[in-house]
Amino acid sequence: MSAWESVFFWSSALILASVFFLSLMSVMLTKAAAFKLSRILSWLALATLTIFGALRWINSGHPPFVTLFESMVISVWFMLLFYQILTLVHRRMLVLLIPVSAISFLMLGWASSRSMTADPLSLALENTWLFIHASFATAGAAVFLIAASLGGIYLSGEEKLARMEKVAVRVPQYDALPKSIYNLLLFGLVLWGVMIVSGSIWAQIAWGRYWAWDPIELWSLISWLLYGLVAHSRMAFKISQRTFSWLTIVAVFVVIFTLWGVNYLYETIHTYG
Amino acid sequence: MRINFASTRLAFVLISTLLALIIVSALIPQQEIAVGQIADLRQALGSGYAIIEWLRLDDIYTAPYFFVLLGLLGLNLTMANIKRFRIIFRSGQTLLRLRHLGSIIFHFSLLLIIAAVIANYLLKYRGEVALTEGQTVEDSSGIYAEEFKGALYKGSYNRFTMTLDSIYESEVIPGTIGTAVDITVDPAGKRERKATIMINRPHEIADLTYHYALTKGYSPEIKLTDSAGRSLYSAFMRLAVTQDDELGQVHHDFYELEPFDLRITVQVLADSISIGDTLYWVALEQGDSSLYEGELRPGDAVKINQYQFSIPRLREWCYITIVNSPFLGLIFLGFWLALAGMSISLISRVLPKERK
Repeated sequence: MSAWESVFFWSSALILASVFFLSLMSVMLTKAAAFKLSRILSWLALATLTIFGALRWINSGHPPFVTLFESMVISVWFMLLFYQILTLVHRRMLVLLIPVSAISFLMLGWASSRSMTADPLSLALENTWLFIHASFATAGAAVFLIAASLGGIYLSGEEKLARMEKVAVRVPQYDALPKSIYNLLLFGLVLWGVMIVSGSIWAQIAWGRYWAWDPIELWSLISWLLYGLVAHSRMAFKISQRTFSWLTIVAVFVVIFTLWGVNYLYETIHTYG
Repeated sequence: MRINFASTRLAFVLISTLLALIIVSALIPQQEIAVGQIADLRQALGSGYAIIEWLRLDDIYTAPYFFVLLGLLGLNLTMANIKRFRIIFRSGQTLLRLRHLGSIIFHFSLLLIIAAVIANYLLKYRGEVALTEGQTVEDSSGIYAEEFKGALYKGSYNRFTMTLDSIYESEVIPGTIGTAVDITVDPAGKRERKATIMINRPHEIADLTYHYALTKGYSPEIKLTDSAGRSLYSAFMRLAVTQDDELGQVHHDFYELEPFDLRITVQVLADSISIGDTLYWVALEQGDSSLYEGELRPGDAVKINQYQFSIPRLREWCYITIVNSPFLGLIFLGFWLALAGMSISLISRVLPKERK
């Protein structure tokens, strides 16, 4: 990793840590100005991470989706991007800042424990479908993480949400949160679906088989079916909103394992770069 | 007890069962996918493995209960779609109709995918053949290192003759070097075609798609001459892969030359298989006697009694995969329809509601 890439990566991590602590303190101490500052810093974090991604792309010669490190960092970037877009469309979603910044900071920390070298791309990975596949995988994971964050906010209770209103000015209606979670799940399912389809197309072109029963392929399918089940559970069994929120949080751990945990346990053709 | 085949609860139960089976398949090695790991697990569990075998947990995707489950899922999807059609016709709200339309397209696409995957599995062909530069093969059962034919695959052999013209490194994209393989294919009843195949760049010729299968190596030419220099035997050896406890992965092969009562064994270590200038370990035996054992480089020769043995040159070899998947297009159509259906449903949910 070049010196400037390092600067922007660690700056992003530091800023996100500040955002988390600042936003948490602002709610605990009811300081609206602190929350406003943390929102500004979250835009700064997105900017520094964007610059990091651009530098990485220029230095490596390929989009930064390939290695495990890049996959984690880009997921954080998508999470920040979707958060900002969501809050521009629905100001009430500002409250997501606390869990999103916490998850982002932790993920960047996890990513820093992986190899940060950007190797040139092998010919096997030189395919447009790979970049569609990898980008939608990271985007889908980001959406599922945001959905789980919203689930966490719901589980924290109506009182805590009302408390956040004192700093965030507007918060979502407590009873409307599960519907927002459901819509996010559906969006995540679309993105994850594109990931699976584009991966199949690429595998067919590269290896002559669209499905090789590779562990990551299997666990991607498991994640997708699991979210499908979570979505159906609302309709089928009229489960409580609390149970639905818990399921959303449990399911995201399967996604995290699929993208970044499978390589620890299985030998797989998805060797990331 | 009356079962409502359109019910979402039934869908939940069926998807849960499917999910459970897929998770089991991720944890227990499956036949035809992880054969080596099955042997390890069998050894580890001993007689306990019998339960896994009896329940066919090591072969879930061809087990009868898996197809029953897919059939029930298909029925549930169909009945649910019929139910949604009725809702669409009765409803006056555009967004509600749009949501159910998206749901119908999505669930129909799942049916399409299930049907197309099963049909493709039953009718597909896949064969892997190893060829050395300059070698020509005729399509027959003996040329394939690995082969899969669907249960209903109707094709026969003699579909083509293929020559591997050359294997070389090519700068496909500036800064990226990859292996390129030039082949000449003469499909039965059609004109001869030349093609260059690489990873991510397969080539379709007469209903069969040719893929470079990522694995290549060097074949040593072995030459046996008599004391007068007359050639007694010459061949390119493509070395098979085995595992040696002490050496790791070893590539070796042997030839039995019956007229001379000779056995020639050549061996090289895996980490040097792709290196042109490498040491080959050679053994020559005649009857029960060992005539020679030692290392040779390409270009070297050794005199052994009345023979001269040499490795004059190397040629590259590689695997080529030949595939015919007749329903692949339908499977991918199903994939895209599924995404379209989900997207329509999602859009209908986020659009503002109609004012009454």
